Amino acid sequence: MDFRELLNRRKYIVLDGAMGTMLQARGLKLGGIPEELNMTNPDMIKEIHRLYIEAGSDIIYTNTFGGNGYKLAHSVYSVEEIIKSGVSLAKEVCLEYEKDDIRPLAALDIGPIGQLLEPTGSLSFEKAYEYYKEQIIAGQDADLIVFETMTDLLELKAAILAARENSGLPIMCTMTFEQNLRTFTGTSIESMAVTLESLNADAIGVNCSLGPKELLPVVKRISEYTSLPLIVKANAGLPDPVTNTYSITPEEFSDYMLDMAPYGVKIFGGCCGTDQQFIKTMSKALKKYDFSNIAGRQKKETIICSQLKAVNINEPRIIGERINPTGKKKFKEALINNDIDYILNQAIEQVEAGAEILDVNVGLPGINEKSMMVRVIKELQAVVDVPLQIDSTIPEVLEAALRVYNGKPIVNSVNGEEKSMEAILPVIKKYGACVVCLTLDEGGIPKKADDRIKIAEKIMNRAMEYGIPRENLIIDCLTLTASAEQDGVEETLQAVEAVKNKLKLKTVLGVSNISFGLPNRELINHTFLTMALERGLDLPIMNPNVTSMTGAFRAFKLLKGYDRDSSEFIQNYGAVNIKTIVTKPGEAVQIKGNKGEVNTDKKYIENIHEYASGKDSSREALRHAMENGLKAEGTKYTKELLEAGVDSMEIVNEILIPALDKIGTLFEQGKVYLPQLILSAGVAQNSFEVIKSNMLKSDTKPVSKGKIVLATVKGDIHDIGKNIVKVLLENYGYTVIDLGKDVDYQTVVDAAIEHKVKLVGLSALMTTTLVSMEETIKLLRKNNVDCKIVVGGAVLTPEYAKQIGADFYAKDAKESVDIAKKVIGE
Amino acid sequence: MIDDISLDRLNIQEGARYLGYGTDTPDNNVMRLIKECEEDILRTAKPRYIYKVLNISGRDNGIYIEGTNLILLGKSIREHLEGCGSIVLLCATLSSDMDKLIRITQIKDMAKAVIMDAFAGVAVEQLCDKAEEKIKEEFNDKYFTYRFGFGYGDLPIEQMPECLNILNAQKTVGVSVTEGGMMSPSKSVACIIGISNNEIKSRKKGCITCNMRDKCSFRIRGERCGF
Repeated sequence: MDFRELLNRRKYIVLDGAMGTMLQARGLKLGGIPEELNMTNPDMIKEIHRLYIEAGSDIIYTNTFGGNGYKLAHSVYSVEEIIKSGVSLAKEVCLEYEKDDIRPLAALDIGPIGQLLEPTGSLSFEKAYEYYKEQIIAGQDADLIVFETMTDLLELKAAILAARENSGLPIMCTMTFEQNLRTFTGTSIESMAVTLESLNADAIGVNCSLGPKELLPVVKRISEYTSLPLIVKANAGLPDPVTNTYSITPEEFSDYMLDMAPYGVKIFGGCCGTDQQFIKTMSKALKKYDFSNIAGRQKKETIICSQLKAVNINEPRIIGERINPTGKKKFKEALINNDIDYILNQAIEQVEAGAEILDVNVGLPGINEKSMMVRVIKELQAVVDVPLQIDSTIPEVLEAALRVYNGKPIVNSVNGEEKSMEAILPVIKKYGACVVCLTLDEGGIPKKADDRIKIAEKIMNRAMEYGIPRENLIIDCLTLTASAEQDGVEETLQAVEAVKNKLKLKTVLGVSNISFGLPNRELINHTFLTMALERGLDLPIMNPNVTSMTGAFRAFKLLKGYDRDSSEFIQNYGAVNIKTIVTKPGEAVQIKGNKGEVNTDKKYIENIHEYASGKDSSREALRHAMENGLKAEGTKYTKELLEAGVDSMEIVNEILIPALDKIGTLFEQGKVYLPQLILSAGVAQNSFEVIKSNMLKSDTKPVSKGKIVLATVKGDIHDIGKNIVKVLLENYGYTVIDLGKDVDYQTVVDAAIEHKVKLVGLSALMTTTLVSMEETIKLLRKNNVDCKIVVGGAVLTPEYAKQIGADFYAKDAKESVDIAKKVIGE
Repeated sequence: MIDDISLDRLNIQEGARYLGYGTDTPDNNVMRLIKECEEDILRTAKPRYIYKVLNISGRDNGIYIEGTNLILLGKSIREHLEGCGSIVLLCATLSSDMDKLIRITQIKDMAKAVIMDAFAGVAVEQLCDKAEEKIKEEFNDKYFTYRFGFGYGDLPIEQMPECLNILNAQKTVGVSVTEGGMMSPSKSVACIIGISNNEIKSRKKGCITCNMRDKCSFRIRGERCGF
């Protein structure tokens, strides 16, 4: 009987108890590699397996938990040797107990790699996948695979994909939660349950860290979000950190474990601190337990998630539309220059404004959309908590993004064309995503609502043939422009209503299209938004930074009763002073109060006003703002100067740069300190933003003094120093191609060649990563890249910089600017 | 994992010193940011730690930790642990949420990020101070050395992963070491404290045990970092 049969036929399944605890009791040294015992003391491992089977285990875990390429790097044995022997020892013991074609099963036990995934750590998703693949191929003779003690949902996803793509074995997954109901990396219970079910795991649950009593709330919560069979492999209570002894008896353990059965737990076992006695006691108790009253669970909700946060589409949610280069000059420029921080900032702003999901589109001719999409997804999910909607027309881009996405995303989009459904739907099925279905096909967008509904039905039927559950489909009935097709507005709304009520599917609409070509677009947009929500729109794709749009959305949710006790509305508007000023009949202007960035330091504000009252006041005030790090004021006076007709370059060259020079000199003299230097740089940065926008508006291209590549070297993940240098260089008008941290040698070389830069800046924080700096320099020289190299970082010295072949050593950010001036010119 | 320590305020002077202020006081504008950072850090950090008390014995090339396969290498650690029969191996962290906060702050406001980074460093040191106090309470009539970190003197930083393995730090506190030898989450500390039955002669930390002494900006200005 294989695992899936066992799962179907049996009311419960018993796992084994701890391996580590048993090994330590038999003399395993702390910090040693327990998997080596498969080779050095196989009898001991077999003895432990036997003890568990005789205690009642239906499944035993192989002694291969840490048998991965990273943890075994210094072992005399290979991954293949360790895993093959581990599996064969377990299998041999299982066969000893075969009776009537039934025997215990051996689960290939796989734990975390032992390193954190990027961007917190330096292990890439792709490398993690390779480590798992190696283990899975070596362990193919096992009866099933179990991934346990996982804390990072993305690492677990890499493991599951490696298993699915290299083996047909069933998969059990358990993660380790703390008492705050999250894992160490922040994975929430909801996200874990939703994501693992979407990835087609056979059974999911929890193991380690806590005792069965403490795990009860965790298990309850998991059962609310999945209909999969649940697994619990609990510790023997809580450990004493010093003595490493556990707190509960086998009887107590057993009682608490049985308390979890009503929540759908079907697979029971023990983790740290448990031995054969725990399993035996629990096994006996399970035999007597009445499972007949336990209700089945069927979850049919549309829930998407990031690692941290699940969003249930059981009420309207805003999808932020700003991460998209279409019609945005600055966004395009950011993509071309690899300016990821610009994109991340767009994300943070939208979330702060009220977006609950973010659409991500980085398609631009001339850039590698696939690698950009992957990089942006990886970076985004490290800084924002909300789930993402992956937006591309290219199936390969979608698949690459789906692989590295940490959670369950929405894909934008598939449509009713045969070739679109054929290309997209299998990918949706494989990665278990939700998908936006556009109601158009080979014949274009149908004019009538009925015809769009038919396309929705067609896509729905095809999706279900692929095995995609209907709750994963989100229908876009398509917004047409009111100025061109006025009657189309009602057709769209009718279609939304029918999809929602007749097909019982979720709906999405891009809202802003409605107003193209009309004046006062904002007014049309939020009116249409309210109309569509009332007719059944679940997911408006819109700009949450437009306060009237978000306002209309929040007001709708309040009036419709979603926002219980108006709490969200009050939270957002309770402290904001909104005055409605009627300027002319029929025309109203809103003034938003006190949410912008305001310097509260009275003295400075008074000073500013003093400056502002004199002649040439704005110039002086801007200078003053720069020197004192006052951002809001800096922006204000830059705008005033531009409005007064002062030339952009005059502002830059006569006010901003001299002020930066002055503060830089004071910094060098030790008269001002790093925070002040960066504050001033921040003011300059904001002023430059104002000037840049102004130039883009008037179609003058901002002048760049030249490009500089910056990177924190391979293996180094501390990039704050490099980022400080970047801010300062940009202040002085250089375009920085920021390659980020932990950058491959070749990536630096490629970027230096592609962007034809004259200067490459490399940063390293640790003595252990200086060698990467040297390697990067060597490779640049080997490829005859015609550039100068400046290096910096805490542990570098001028002598060492010279020794590894750098042209310049910069002791701080200010000196980097001086070097850039020397190499590229002012 | 132990999470019985909470931080209620950060040492402002210490943070200012990390930022290069020496004995100077930051101006009002910077002070306002410091206060904001302090609030953010105290709200975000999840202080936790794990430790083990292990017996040791001297070896020619270093210090053997009994019950393990590990010998701590070098002259510095041998000197540090002179007269000690056991050690506390300690790992403390503010969690990956702290890294995330620093990253987000870098995107939104670089000046604030610089301050945040420094003060998160202060926070993790304060966590270690408090953990150390608690651990010491368990031992009457014993004497302790100061916290010795990996990479101090000639104790190789490469031995940190092995020591974290002894603590099972990835599983117990969520701390691991990258291939480049960096701790992640970054605001984490791993260190060794010697325990002795006899009073320990004032063996102060100081520039002499510091690898950075030749290029230290404090020393250049004629100051000391306080280590």
